[in-house]
Amino acid sequence: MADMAHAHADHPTGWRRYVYSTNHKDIGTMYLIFAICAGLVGGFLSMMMRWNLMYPGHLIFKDPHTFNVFVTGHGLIMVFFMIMPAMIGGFGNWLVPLMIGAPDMAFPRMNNISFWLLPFSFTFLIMSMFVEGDSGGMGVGGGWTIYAPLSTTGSPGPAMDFAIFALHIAGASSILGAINFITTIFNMRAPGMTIHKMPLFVWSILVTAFLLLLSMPVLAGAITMLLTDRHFGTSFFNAAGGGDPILFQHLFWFFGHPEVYILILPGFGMISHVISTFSKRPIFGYLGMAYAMVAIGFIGFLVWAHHMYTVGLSVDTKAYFVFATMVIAVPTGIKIFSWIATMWGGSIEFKTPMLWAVGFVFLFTVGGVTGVVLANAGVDVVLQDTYYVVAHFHYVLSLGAVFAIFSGWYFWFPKFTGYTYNETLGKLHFWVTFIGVNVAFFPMHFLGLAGMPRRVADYPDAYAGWNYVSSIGAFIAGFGVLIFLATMVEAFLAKRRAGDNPWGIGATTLEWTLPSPPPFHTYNELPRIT
Amino acid sequence: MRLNSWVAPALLFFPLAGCGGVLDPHGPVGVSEKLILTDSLAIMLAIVVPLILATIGFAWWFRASNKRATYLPNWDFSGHLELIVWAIPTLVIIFLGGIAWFGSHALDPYKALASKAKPVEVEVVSLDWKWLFIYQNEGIATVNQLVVPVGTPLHFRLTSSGVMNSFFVPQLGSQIYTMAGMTSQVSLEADEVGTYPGLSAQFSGEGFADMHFDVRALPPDAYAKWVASQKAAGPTLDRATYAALEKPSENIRPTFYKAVDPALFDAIVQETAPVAPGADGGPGGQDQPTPKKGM
Amino acid sequence: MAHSEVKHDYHLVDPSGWPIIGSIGAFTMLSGAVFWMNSGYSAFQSLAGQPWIFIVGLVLVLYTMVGWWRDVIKESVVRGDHTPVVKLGLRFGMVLFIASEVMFFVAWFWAFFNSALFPHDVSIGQWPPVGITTLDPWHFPLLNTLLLLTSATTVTWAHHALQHGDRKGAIQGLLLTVGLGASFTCVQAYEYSHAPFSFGFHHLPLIPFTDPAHVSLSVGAGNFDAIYGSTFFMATGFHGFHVIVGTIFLTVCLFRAIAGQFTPERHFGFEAAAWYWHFVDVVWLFLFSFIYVWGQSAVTFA
Repeated sequence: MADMAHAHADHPTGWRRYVYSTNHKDIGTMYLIFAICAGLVGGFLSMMMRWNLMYPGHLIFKDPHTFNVFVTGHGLIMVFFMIMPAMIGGFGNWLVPLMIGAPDMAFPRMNNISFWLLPFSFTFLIMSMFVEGDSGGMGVGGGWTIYAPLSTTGSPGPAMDFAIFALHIAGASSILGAINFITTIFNMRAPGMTIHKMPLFVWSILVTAFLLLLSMPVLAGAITMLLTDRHFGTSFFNAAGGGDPILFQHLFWFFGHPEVYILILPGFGMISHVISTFSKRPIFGYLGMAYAMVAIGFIGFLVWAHHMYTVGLSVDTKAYFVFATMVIAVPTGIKIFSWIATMWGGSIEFKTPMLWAVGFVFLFTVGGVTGVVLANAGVDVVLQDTYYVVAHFHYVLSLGAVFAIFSGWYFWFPKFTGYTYNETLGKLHFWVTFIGVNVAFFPMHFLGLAGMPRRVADYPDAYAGWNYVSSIGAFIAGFGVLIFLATMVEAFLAKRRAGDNPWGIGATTLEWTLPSPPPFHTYNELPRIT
Repeated sequence: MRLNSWVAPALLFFPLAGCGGVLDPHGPVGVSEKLILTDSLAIMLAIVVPLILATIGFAWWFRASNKRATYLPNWDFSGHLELIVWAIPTLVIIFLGGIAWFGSHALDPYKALASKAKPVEVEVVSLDWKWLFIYQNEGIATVNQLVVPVGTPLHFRLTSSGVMNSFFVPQLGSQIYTMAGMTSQVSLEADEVGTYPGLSAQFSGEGFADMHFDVRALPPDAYAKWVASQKAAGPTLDRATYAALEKPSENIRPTFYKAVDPALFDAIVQETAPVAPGADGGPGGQDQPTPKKGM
Repeated sequence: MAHSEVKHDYHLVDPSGWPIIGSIGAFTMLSGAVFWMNSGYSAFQSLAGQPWIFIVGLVLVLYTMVGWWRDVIKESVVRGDHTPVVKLGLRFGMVLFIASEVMFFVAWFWAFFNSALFPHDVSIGQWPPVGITTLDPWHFPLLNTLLLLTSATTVTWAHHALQHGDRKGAIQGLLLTVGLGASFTCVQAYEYSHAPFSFGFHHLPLIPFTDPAHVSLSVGAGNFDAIYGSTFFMATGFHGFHVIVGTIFLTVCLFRAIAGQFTPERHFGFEAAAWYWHFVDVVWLFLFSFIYVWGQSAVTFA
């Protein structure tokens, strides 16, 4: 590698620029493109699922196992290959160094392996769909939670092994990324950028990175146990060998609950920037906002068993988890109140990012209501594993996190690419998606209350009507994705130059002082924050 | 965005009668769960509906083109407001947490129901992919149909032959997981004569979607008659018939057994019951999935 | 492209091929593991049960590690890219990496305590399970504890020597540490091969997992005590793996010390190895206290 010495003076071009990249902006771009591709695959799977469930009677999947494979793939792809790469890898890589006035990430080369592990991990997941899962069917049909013993004795084929390794690699990528972000934020802030002056998005990535760092290794341990149970003769989850299948659920949700905050916290950060910018006001209660995220992250580690109310936990254990879970609603409520207070006294412009942000607050609040309802063990026992839960987590993730991603995407698109998007198309994308997802997911509450379990490939006629409505909504939202692609194509064809700061006085963070797009290396002379 | 105006009533009162679910309970457990559900929903909506209205209202009122709205470009903190912002969620959560705390204790699925009648003891085994019900005291067994007397507590002990399932009758209330090698319990009761759909709520593989069963709640005398008629005729469930039954199968019709091996349930829990060769996890199934051509 | 002069001390790393090579290596290695582990899957045809792809991938991963860290050392020693602020970043990085490693061990301790504290919730009823004779903690495990504790002091000795520019002392201290680490591994290997309980199900020893006799997935009459071997071997085994990694890390530092790459001011590579070694040491103390001492049976196997 010696011949590349000082190559960063004039950076490499062509494929080497990306494949060998040590530049946070190029790596961020790769993450975003990867997330869009994975999102299209995951979205395609969901369209097929909704098509199948439109009417009772196995509409397209004659073999329910294939439907289960689609459900599992949809969940894993959206969580590990769409939302996380987009928010943390994409926006985090692009924006954290720019916002804190750092020339790059702390470990630029490690940053690149964090990215490049992901396409290979994704390949494993895709490969798993083409080898045998349970006896007879192709692919992993165990759901994204891969509960034992369905993932051990229930899926003897190699598909589950591919899925386990996909998670191992994705986990390694996330842990390395988390180390990189924390080190960057602690060690590379520009002179004068104190912790309490950091933009909220940087705060959100900091908390997220800690959650990743501390929860991912536990998942790695749990899926390693799955692997050794499957092939090496251990009996961690096998009751016949003295093991305990509930142990897997404890380990999984000790990772899984922080994971859902990993998915939403960067969204909180982005939404704060968008609302503040388009209200042309500083964010209300900055410190409260920052430490609310810290509190959410901390309590997020103490509530995992609220996913397990129906496994027969002791009643005092349940009561503790109910209460701890509800406590999380306090810092979350504070964030929502503070966003509203930020709009108060503002001079609000409803550009596309702001529409997505207001949509986010609205939908996330609906998801919060059902979340508090589900937190209650006395109610959860009749709603666990039903479509009510599906509706709940799609309101906070599919609508919450994804709306935050789109909000951030339209907001920083001019900065990243140097082009402006078409405002009318962007707004059309918003409204079509907003209507689509609500029509798709709101009826799921009714289906859940009526007792329709999740992950079914077919259902009795009693659930027919709302499933039809839900499918129509999903297709509308799917059409919204096409509008999104059209918006992007239009923006790149039209090549309208965006100025350094297209959003005006409300955009106060450091990245808006740079040209659009920023030069390959920014801050060769560190900015001084006063 | 005007969605919220019908969200609130819809969530509470949307007609679900045709579906028959959690909002249409027919037993004391389900009734109390519905009560907590509506209570916590109502409290949350009391907070959230104004919140959503405020979000949309403020956003609209403070739009840039509205000259009547005051623009406060530098206001970024108010101690009083911050106090309110922290106090409202905290108080609501303390209140809701209290309800939940008592709810969790009162609705513990392991707790026996208060009743003078002696509970009907049913042992439940989730098989791939059907439900086996063993009436311990009556000495009979059924598959994919559960017949119970109304007004009598039902005490279930549950286990699984392999993967996890969740035993769930939405109109009677609490669900509970079934796990191999372990026993879980739940107490339920049906108050009215009728047929209530039951299902598995926890995803369990290929045949999961069709793991339905009907709960037929009969008046006590009709129930007694039904038990007597069951005992009169039909096959017997012993270890050999169990081994055949345990083989994975989907969407099977209700089956009835006039007699049952009384130690069968415990044998299944102890994992000493016979296992069909080739069943998932069976000795023949391991590491040698059905050969398939190509990838 | 013209650039303004770089006026900061951060290290902008040159483009590098190692990340992609390493990713391809990891992909190859784990695909190979799937082929290796699924000897009975006929669609894999001649690959089923074969370790070769795994080995190729492993070599690629090791090659990446060697090449990547060689580059890091070159950047530090030859090019002087590691300014004080970069070194501080490396310290953060190592501490955070160790934190994630701690959480990995949390999973294995969780599995252990899940059975050891609540044996009635699972089918075993008591801990250790009936029929298990545990290892006597006051024989080899105690010896291993002493080996590791001594190695912690020798590594500190090496550190002090480095700080005072005493290269010979540093080399001696490191030599002793590496020797003690290697002895730990030998003792553990001996202990494993003589353990009075099996690795897992059906009392099978830890045999190559492609052996068709290794019926790990079977339900049915099993041995409930299998969980003991599972938790014991996986927790101590992963620790043992970390001891080996730490020993290699210290060996690299030993060679770097011999090559004169460490100065009293610049020896972060050594410090990272020492921190890692202390982490391995602390994990062992937990394993020793809980799995060996607290979890021993009434009668132990000496």
